[in-house]
Amino acid sequence: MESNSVSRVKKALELKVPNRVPFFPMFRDLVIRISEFNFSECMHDPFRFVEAELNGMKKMGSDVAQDFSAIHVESEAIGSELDIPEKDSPSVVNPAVKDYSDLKQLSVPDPRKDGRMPKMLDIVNELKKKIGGRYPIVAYVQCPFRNAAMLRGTDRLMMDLYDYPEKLNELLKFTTEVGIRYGESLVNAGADYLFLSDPISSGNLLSAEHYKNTVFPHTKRMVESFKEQGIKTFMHVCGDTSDRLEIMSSSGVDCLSLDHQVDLDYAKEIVGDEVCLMGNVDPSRILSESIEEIEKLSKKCCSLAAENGGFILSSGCGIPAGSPVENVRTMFKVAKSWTY
Amino acid sequence: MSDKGKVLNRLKRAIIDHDEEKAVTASKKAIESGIDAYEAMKGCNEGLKVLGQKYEKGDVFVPEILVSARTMKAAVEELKPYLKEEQGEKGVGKIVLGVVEGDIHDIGKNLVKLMLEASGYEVIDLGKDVEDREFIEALKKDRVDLVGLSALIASSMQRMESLVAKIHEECPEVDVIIGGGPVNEQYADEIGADGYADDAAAAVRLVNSLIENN
Repeated sequence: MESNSVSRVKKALELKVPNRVPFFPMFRDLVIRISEFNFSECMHDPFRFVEAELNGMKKMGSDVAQDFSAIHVESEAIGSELDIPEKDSPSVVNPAVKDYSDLKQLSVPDPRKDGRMPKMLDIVNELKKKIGGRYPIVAYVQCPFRNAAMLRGTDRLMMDLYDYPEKLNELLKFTTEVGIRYGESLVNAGADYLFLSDPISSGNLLSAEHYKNTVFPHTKRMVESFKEQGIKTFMHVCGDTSDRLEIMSSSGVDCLSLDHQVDLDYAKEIVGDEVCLMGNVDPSRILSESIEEIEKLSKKCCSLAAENGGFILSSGCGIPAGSPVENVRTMFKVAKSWTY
Repeated sequence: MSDKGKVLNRLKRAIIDHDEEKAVTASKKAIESGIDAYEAMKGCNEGLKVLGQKYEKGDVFVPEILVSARTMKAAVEELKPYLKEEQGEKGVGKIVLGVVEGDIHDIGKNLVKLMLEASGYEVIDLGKDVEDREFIEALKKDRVDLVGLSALIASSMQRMESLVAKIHEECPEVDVIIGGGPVNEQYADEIGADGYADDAAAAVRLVNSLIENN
């Protein structure tokens, strides 16, 4: 079979050696900017985002198509209110679960009806129609702890670890159900993979004990539920996750997306034989460095982790909107020309 | 250890262990035994200092800092009424924080805010996407000691340079410090900022040293 992005990414996730290194640019903000849309337009009109994503893929190169990531869709559908600035990503201004007595009144949202969820299904569906079969469609789902943070407010949630551990556990059970139902709908709408994101489970923010004992059991249940249905998953946790790589990998997730603070050679040694690794050029350097430097950094990632396959080249986290297009294209060129 | 030493030590421990009840009891005990309120507050601060060191070493994390900061606030509430007026002035510095242009994660700025508040500073948080005019207005409205600017994207770095100049011109008594993704020490020097900090604990140390030297 002729190799294309679909088979390339599939092989990497199976820990095999693809015909070349796949490239997964997390460039939501950048594709919106270069398409000359406002962020808020894309929030309201899903087809704008599809246009931006396709435009970005064409201009910079990519082996995946992503839906509209990290806009707190699940939390909004549950009842958290968003501030939607014209030119910037949204943030939660009025969390749904101010008091744990609110928890009883919440119900798992219906992805066909509630909040912005139907728009996300439209995005996935449209991407599938336009480029499905050639590129895998990757859809974003919040990990249980992330969604909980957007329902409680991050600071409040962090204190809940000490103040209300049992209630927090209830909330995480709920957000796990929400994520599972939403993820399934995204797959039914055409998503090939789910990208499970958990920014605040970062090793810079949360101890490994709290992650392992309180947060992770729910994340694991979510991954397992998808796995039972044959849905493959990526997992992204921001910041330095070196101390929890084995825990994350033990969820059975297919790919770990690592931030730039993690040494790829260390990760490869620790978990490289059980999970595909993705990463991890420093996003702030993609923004500020020269093409030559980006080429060097991308090559370094490949040299540390591409050997024997099971590796996808990416940025450590979201690529900033102001980054030069040429820098992202350079990453793609490195992925294309890397020889195993 | 003297009785006074014991009480101060208990306060310090209460902050480290984020034990609010113990912190309030120890604060009351301090006042009852005639310990100067300002000295008791410094005892709490010792606890925070230890916590800051632990945070830098990766022994404690954000949840622990949050609950300890809350414990500190509870202790300070008990002690505040007993502060002599000039101590109240001396003990607190006023700081304005803001993100120059919107970014994806403003948790860095929030953490700096928290650590500063816990260290006894009054923090005015202007949020993200803050315009130059808003910074200047906030600085002129209150007697502010220091302003912290955060940026995560390159275009806002350019704005930082002109903003630092503007603040130095219009509010010459206010120190300007910067932080965030793409900025570094060298850049801070280039644009004439008064300091740069790599993380929240370093920011507190930087603020302490700038304010002490004023």
